[in-house]
Amino acid sequence: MPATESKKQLGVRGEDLACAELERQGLQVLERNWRCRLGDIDIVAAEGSGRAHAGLL
Amino acid sequence: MSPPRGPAGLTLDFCEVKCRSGLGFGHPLEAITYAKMRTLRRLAAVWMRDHRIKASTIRLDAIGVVLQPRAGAIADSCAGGGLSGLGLRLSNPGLNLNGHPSSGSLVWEDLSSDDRRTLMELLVEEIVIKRHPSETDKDGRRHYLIRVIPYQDPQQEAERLKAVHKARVKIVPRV
Repeated sequence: MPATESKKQLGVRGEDLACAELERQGLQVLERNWRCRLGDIDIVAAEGSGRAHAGLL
Repeated sequence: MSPPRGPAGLTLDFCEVKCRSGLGFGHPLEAITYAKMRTLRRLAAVWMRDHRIKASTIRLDAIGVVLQPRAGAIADSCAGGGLSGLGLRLSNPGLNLNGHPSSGSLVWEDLSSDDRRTLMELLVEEIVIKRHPSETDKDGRRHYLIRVIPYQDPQQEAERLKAVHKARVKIVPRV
């Protein structure tokens, strides 16, 4: 369905832009669209002196 | 220099993103409800347990993205060979664009969703990205002001927007 598809595209586009903005603000994007049975998180980002180590993931 | 491991000074930011083209149905942040933020709080805990990451602070953010159509650009493209030059096919033949390159007679609301999408790809001028407004109190807790709007279809939602009520929501980060 094209309408649904465009909505999805809009959502992805919004997340792209939000990620770019967070990175511009100095945050490190760790994960996008994480899902579990309870629901999903659009973006997980880290901030601060102790930025999350890639090895932790 | 490798960053220190462990929780010292680490803030994790969990974001809910809403994107809308234009503000016809209200600001995207208005679609982010208390229930969503509460779910996000729960999911944040699950995520951290899953990834075995500890943080000194967690933050829940709502990010609204508004894509604004660039009205001026429509006239620009008309002057330079018309909208067909952009590969845009207007589905409403009543709109006489080429005859009025700068009259501003093209109304966003008159466009079909296909045309809107095409225009948006080509003509987006301004992207507004906002975090959800919040205040931090003396204990370092963040207080969010979240408008509570149950999901409605767009027309009903527009009606309801007139009668929006605000709820004060407290989200306490667990260390």
